[in-house]
Amino acid sequence: MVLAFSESELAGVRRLVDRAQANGIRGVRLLDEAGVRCLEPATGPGVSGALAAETGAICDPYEVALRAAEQASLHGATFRFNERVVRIQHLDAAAAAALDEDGDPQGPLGGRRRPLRYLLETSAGVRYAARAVVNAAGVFADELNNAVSEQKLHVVPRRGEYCLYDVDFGGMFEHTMFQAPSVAGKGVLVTPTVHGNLLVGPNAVEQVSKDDLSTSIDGLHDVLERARATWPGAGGSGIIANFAGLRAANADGSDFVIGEPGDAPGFFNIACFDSPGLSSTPAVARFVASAIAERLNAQENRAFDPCMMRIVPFSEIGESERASRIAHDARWGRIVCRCCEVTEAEIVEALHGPLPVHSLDALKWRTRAMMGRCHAGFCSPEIVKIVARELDTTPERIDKRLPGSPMVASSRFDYPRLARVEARAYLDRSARNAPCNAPFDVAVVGGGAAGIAAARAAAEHGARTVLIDRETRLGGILKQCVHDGFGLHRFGVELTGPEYASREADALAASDVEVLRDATVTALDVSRCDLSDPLLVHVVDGCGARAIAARAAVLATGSRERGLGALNVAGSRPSGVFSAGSAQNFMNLQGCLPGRRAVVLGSGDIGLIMARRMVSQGAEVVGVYELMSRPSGLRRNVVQCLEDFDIPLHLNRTVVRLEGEGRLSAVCIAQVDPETLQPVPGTEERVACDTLLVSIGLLPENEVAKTAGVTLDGVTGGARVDSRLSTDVPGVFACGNALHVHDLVDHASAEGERAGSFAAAFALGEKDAQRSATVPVEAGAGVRYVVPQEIDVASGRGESLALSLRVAQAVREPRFVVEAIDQVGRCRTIKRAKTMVAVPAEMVQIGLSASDAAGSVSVRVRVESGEMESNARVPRAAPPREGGA
Amino acid sequence: MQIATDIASFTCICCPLGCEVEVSFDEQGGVADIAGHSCKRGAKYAANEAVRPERTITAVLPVAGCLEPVSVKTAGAVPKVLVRDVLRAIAGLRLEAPVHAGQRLLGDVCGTGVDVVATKSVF
Repeated sequence: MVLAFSESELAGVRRLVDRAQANGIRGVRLLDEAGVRCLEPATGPGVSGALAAETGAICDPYEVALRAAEQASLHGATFRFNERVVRIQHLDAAAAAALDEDGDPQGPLGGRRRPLRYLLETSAGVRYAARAVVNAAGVFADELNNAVSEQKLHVVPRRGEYCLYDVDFGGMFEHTMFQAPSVAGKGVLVTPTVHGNLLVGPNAVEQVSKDDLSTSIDGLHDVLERARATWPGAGGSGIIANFAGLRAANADGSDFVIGEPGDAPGFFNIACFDSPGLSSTPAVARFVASAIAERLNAQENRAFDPCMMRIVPFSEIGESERASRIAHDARWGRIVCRCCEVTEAEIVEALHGPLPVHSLDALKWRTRAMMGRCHAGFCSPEIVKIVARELDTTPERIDKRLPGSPMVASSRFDYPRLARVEARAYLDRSARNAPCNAPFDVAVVGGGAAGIAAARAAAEHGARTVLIDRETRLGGILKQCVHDGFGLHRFGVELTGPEYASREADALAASDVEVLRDATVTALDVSRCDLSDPLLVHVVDGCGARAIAARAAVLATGSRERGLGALNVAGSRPSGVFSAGSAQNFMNLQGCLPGRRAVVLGSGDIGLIMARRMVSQGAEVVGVYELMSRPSGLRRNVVQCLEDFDIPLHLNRTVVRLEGEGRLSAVCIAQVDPETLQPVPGTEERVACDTLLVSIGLLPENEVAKTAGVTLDGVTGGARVDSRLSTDVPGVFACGNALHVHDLVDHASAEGERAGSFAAAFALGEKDAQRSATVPVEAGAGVRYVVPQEIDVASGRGESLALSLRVAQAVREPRFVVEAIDQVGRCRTIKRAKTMVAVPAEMVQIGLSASDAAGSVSVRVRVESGEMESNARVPRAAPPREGGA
Repeated sequence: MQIATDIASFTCICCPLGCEVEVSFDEQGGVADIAGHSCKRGAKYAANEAVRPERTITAVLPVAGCLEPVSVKTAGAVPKVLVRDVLRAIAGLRLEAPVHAGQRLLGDVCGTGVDVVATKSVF
């Protein structure tokens, strides 16, 4: 669809429609404003009409190129990667004959072949003599052409910048939405992608460098600004990545340059392919191929098979097809990239495909692994392990994209061998893993602290319980949190993360809970006819894909880290940028050193703890940079992780730009206006580093909840629950970081216990366990959110409950007031409570009895009096503090 | 003439209040006075930090024959001034799989009387 936003643009669009009809293009028509809105309701208010081309479609450009290349490879083409053509010369007849065995009249082919014409030399020092050369060198095509022809070309690199949105936004538009070309430019497009993301861009900025693929702050700003005409929602929220490409624009005209220059027979240009390059490609390729055939007197290869079987990705197939693939190879049952549901089998397959995989990005584009909303935070450590073992290399030799973009600074020499040992152990285990088909009372999804506690509590309540976890060892993220400070509330001693996890896992092992390890829950089906019928938990593991029936489910799916993509930072996309948690995984679970000189963005606890870990391991940490006016982690960590190791903490700063073509070489840091939280122009400073650790908050992970249709809370990011931790889907409960991000794991365990017992009560059909009359709980003045969002006053009569809340801003000596509001709007104070101080980083709990709220229509919690701290503003979408000590 | 009293200040870590606590020293280097705290825990914390600050140290170590490194800790707190020495001593350990959680890997590290123990099992 091509949108018009004014009368003159509409006239232009009308001309396009006329031209399309004159050219005999079917399905092109003019829409008025109402017509546009009918098809695309999210379109901006300024739209006045549009061209609609029903035959238009989109593809995955990478897959088009890859499949064509694979096709060529399978039919005998040789590919040489990482070899730049550094010289090309015409061969004179004598030189050609000297090089040419086949062309020799006395040679085996008797001179039927056409002569060798060109000699190419590459950066690898290799020379190639060729009868024909196709110049498809993009922005470098002019240099090659000009070396052999007097018909000079001049290519101008014209940068186009894009912002890529999360799949949550993919459904915003059904069509590719162009803007009418005008004197002001071509406009930017907003389009869904074949993978369900939403893509916004590009702009068109001419630049000198042919190598620099970095985005600019101004360019990204401009793209979003212009996209807002089409989609008013275009902004920072929901972006997972930005990137730039270079069009090879023709400086001496606007057209493509195709075919042989008059003075260079056998040299075929496919040059100056500005827009629409990809769409033109098939026709241009056929045209050039036949010209080459004619020049070389070549015959058509009748054995050429134009078809390739596409193996349908795991994410696109149904449960029975999944099961049969897993029966064939257990690695189909191991989902490595959870965001895009990519299995180990698919990754291994891609690594051994017709064309070599030279970087993690190449793997990403082939399989979609690491392309999702977690910004590879969860899966990249695991994928590096698979690549290392399959290609027999070490993580320090695995590139992210270009040569010289290693994933980590150092890793152990015997890494690939030990990774193979681990992989064999997985296959042995999955063969032994007996399927569990029995119907359960309670299924707990997630084996972290909250999930383990929930499963134990449910079993203690007498429910037949199954705990399903994607990993081999229980404990969730605790396994990599090797620092201490856990368990003071729950066990009365300070423990490290692995110790806390193993205490919980040991207690679980002594219970009646059945544990399903290495198993991923892909969906929760709640479409049962009757509430007494079971839910279906869809599980994938090494022994199959199946549905497990349970009367109730507890979602303890944890949280994920906010990635750097969310900040839409400009610059290049080098290696060396880690979420703090994935760096922690590389260090603490794989023994790799992520980098040697690190900058930490965000002062969340994981970032502070990782700063100390890096220094303890011999790396340098230049500093921790925090957007807000105060550190967001625990003070204990500021003192013991930063001050003890002389690591500077800089407040009101953020990263605005990344530098480095291969590995990160520097970040640009800007001061931030404490009021608007926007970077202050002109304050940028360049800080050299090879590593950026991003610790900017956690987000509840609720993909399984979404499949069940659970309503999520806009502030917490978790499910909306009542005082029994029941979501609005009967029989589905939530707890832990999946419900709201906790400050201490001890609290997540306690919440898990409550969820487990309530789920058991529901499953066993206990009287009063069904959800009935509820009263909403509102966050009043000074309160950012309250969990639960509803109090069940009827069934939970007399039940004690805990309101968990976070304040909107730091306050000294706050008084918390819980009020019940009746039908005529009268307020009755039902509870008053205090703390010495409250900060957004720390959760506050207020005990209450459900019966206190009886007779009211709503309950409100607000902060009264107290002295607000002036320099502690909190943005509306403040990232929640991370868990752990 | 007045003889100035030595002081040191510490940000208390006991609660989010984060009091700036000032400790005054007597002539022998002991604590003479504490000011700026809001509770007893804060006073105790500052006195400890002023005279004998201690830390529990955690680290990870490679283990021969196993990809996953083992995590370790000092079984108790050690003097803060020895943190880097203890880390160095831990880094000097050479371990072979299997290692069991709770296993003593190093006794009396750096003369502190404190052991270094594994906090997870690897095999």
